[in-house]
Amino acid sequence: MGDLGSFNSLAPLLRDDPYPVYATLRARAPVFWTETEQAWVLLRHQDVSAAFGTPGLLTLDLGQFVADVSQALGDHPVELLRLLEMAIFFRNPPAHGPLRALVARLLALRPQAACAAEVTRIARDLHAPLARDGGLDLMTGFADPLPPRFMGWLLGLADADALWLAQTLAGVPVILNRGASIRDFRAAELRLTEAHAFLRPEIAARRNAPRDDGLSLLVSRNDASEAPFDDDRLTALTSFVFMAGFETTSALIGNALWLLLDHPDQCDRVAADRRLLASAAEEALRLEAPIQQVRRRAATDMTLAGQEIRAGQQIVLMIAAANRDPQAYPDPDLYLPGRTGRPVQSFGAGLHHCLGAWVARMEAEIALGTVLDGPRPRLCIDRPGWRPLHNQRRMTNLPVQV
Amino acid sequence: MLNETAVRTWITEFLVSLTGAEAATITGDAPFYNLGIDSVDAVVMAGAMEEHFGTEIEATLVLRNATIDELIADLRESGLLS
Repeated sequence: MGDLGSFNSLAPLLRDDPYPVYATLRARAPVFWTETEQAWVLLRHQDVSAAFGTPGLLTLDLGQFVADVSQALGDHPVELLRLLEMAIFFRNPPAHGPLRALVARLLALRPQAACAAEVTRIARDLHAPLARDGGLDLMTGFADPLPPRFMGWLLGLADADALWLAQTLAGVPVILNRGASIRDFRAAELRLTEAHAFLRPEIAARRNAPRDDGLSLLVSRNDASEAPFDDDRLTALTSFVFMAGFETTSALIGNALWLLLDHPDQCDRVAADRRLLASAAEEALRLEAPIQQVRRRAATDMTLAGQEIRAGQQIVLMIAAANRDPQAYPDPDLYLPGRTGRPVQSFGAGLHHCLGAWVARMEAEIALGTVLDGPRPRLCIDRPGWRPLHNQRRMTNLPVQV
Repeated sequence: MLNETAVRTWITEFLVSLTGAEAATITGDAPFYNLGIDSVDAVVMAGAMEEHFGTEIEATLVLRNATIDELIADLRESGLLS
């Protein structure tokens, strides 16, 4: 890592523990250009935060990228391209606004108290086997199924259907990682084809006979809009919302449980004072951000973090580094529920600020509270087994015993 | 297991056909970016390499290495090169 120009966040040595490298780089050159990645890299909290709020920084269009790769290969991944067309965070104005407005309506369907009650019900149901069987994988048995079941409830899908959909779509979000392979794109296309064959009739059924559920709301709001999406796109949007609702939230719940259980003293504090639960979830967001970095493209020449950026150049907003900036958080590597300070950057900010941030925070807080309500679990692993992805901070398994 | 000479030869031929550059200009230390290779090309190249050699090649292999020499060293470290 001596040469800044050859810095590459995809380097295998950065996968398990990138934070010490970011700390060294942040102190030495908080903003720099890397030839290898062909991008500016922002590592400071203030710069990442400012960049999220800069309208002249556009999101990268992954759909265009996948279309270009597919064209070179003679592939036609229609379902995948439609999904990316509906993926709010890859779209810029003017396409961005109507998509975001529609999904915002969906998330506002139920009062937050009703959502919290449902999450609590699901969390208790999933947690029950721990006391009964004496052990549970808190990833595969708890953090993974909780968010899809909540999304299923919101959309109006049966539990079994929501879990089937989550399993079917589980591999798709891998394509969000820069450097996803053609293999990943082709697998995603197959999975989406399968999922959409299930969702299309569900959507058609809601149009014929609306119910009091999220799918019906999506259909009716869409059909009443000035430029409604066709059913293929509405189906793709449903898949997108469902995945956006489970992928990073499951990651967050797992990371929050790992950090809490790996710090027994803090775990005692939080168990004794439940007002710290939200903050325990926030520390997990900060220390192990489910999405570690995002990229932007400069629409015009501009000055950013004191650097002249030219139109068309790309910028890496290193969330994982900003969240551990000592200028923003004293003792940044310490897990400290109750800490106050600057907002974590894990949900972004500005135009693309995560619409479901409140849902994710609520689910993580309730998940932690549910586990603390039961017998204290002992971790069966010494260190987290991270998925081998540079941009998604998510564990594969989290086995515990009581 | 891959063979270094075969990998070098294949990459050079791939880059020649993609960019129209003279084979002689595609040296081990020439940055892919300077040869006109963008991130779309990198993913396509990894896919083509995977098909040609019949072994899993991550697209990050091309994206995280700036030159052929770096890519070869990376393959060796990953235990994919004999």
